[in-house]
Amino acid sequence: MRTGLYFSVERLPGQTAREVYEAVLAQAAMADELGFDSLFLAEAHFQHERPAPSVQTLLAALAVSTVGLRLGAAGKVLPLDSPVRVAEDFAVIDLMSNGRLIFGAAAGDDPDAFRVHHVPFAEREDRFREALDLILHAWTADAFRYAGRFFEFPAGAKPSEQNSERFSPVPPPDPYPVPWKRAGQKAAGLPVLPKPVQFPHPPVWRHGSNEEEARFAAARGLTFLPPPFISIDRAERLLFASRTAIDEACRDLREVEVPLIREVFVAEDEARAEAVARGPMMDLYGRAQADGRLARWEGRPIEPGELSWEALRSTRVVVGGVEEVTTRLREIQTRLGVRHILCHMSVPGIPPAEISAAMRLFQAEVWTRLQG
Amino acid sequence: MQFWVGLWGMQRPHLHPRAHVRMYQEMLEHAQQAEALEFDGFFVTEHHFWYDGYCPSLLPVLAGIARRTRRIGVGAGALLLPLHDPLRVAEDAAVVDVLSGGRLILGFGLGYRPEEFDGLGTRKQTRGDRAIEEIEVIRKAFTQDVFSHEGTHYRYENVRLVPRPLQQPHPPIWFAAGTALATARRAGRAGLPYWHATATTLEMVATAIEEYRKAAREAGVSEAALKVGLTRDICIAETQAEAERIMREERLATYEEQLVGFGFILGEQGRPLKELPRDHPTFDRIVKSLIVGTPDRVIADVEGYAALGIDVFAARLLSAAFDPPKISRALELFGRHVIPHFRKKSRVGGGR
Repeated sequence: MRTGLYFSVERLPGQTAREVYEAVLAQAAMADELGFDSLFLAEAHFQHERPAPSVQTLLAALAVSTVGLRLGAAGKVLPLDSPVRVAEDFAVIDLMSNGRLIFGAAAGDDPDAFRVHHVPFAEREDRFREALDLILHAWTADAFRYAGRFFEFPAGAKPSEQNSERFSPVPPPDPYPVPWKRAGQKAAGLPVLPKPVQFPHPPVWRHGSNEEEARFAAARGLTFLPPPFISIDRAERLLFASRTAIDEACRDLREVEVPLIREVFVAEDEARAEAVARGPMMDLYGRAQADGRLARWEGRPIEPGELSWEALRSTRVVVGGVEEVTTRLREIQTRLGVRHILCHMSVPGIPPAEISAAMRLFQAEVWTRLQG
Repeated sequence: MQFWVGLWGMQRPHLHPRAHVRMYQEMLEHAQQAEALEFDGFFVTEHHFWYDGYCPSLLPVLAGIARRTRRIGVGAGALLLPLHDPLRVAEDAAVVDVLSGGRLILGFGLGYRPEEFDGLGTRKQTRGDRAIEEIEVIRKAFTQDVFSHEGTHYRYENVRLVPRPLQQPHPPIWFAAGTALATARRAGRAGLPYWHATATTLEMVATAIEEYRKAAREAGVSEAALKVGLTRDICIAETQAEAERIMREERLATYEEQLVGFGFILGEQGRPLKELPRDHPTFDRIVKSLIVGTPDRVIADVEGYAALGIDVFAARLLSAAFDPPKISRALELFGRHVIPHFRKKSRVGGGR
């Protein structure tokens, strides 16, 4: 089982964005040394408690501060940005990290961010799919044009005359592949450069929240990353839908990873783990319940009883001593088929020294047991 | 006078093929070297869809530079604002300012290659007005808790930028708008610091600065808001002969490839030329704009520009081949000889 870290990039009252970023960077450097496989960052816009509007710049900062970690977004909200700009930024991050990028992308689920950008919220999934299609062409094609429903590249691009495909390769003129239209010539197609290091492109993780989105990912050979906070039962259903769709699409589970985000905290014994993590995790779920994220991702309203500490421990968070945490993660590994666990250890309110200790203990004791 | 160094674009021209992944690593090493040599700022530059893989993503790159350095200013020179969404720029820029501990410098340019406007789906025709309006949006986003904007090109209602930049009221914004007199005037009218680009003669620089100050005066802009930055291409070496060899063999050939490639040079029918005659007037102007020589000669030329009232001198020391040891050598010569000369001078005059 691969082990990674997930950061929700949240802050508590009185905390600055700078403190949050410095903590992420310090823990990333440590995770890199401890041999974690990956690190994922959430994205959020225009929300005071979640200063994470620019996953590109944070990932670039992480790229130059680490050596071995795979770096990803969970997930970049595609409908709120120009797909071509996103393709460019993430290609550069792949270059800066020497091929360590995992392109985690999402359709977005915060209506307010769509309102600000004048993008119809109802179109988010359709826009996501077209943007992703365009981004994958941008990473792999030479000069091309793209005539989509939402996006044209270059502006005014029309479908090719031979067929109705949105994508058409455009042969480069000699001697330079870019036609110059200063003298009135219009560019028929353009190359998006530079290309990423990874071939044919960085792995794509679709961060989604329902069975339909899991099926979309499966049919295209993309990894499906379920949302944070969901119950084990919900995760099981989503991952089952994903596996079934992979079979139906005549693809293979080997093409993708099977990741899951969990709040994880491990200490030398259960009492100590509880003492440190209980308050901050209860608060975390309280906030996610209050702002609607829990219900949205679970696909139904959450009863207050489901958020008692006992209920959280049995269905959502993984907290305890080494044996207990290992047992719970093994269950996730065997029952759900998860092969890449993204540990959300940096829960706001848990002191940094405690997080560092938990990271060390996890890699020294739990990781070894999960590989057996 | 501050000294900045640029403009890294991580290009691989036909004449000097290299791996991009190496160029991004080497750029970070040059940033560290520039910091050690006490340059005040390190600059990167953007273009899009260009055959040499010109860097299209300045703010992620600046975030990387920020984490590998401690004191040096990290700058976009220029971020071609009309190609971008102002809110996305504000978000990325604010995060880079925080990640750098408040060292971000924002040089905003207009862009000029039509492909870039077509490719990113914005209109070239409105770029000048949009740049000014975008700067207004970005300033509001940086400084107001919740802002709204009702403009000609952009409209936002009740937006909260999170996080806000570290620098107060916001990172310095420069109008890095090429060399045209119209843009110099536009910078003056808007009361923005004006950053003049390469490939102009001393006389042209003097005229642009004059126009900038005049437009500002006429618009009632206070003198205190005005600043001038200047970029020059420099071929520096221990001997004059070596500097001239660098110019001839390394700089001009690449310049030629880039000028033709960018379609700068137009023939009689207004069509871009595919081969550049060395006696073409544009090429001649570029040759005249270069500063070529020993450190002493470079000092003398820089002093000529400084006399025009320059606040920032941005040196482009990149070897045309983007060859790391050659770039390092040029950084070293400029940093060890030219910068200290001006620092000493300004200390006599009452400190920097």
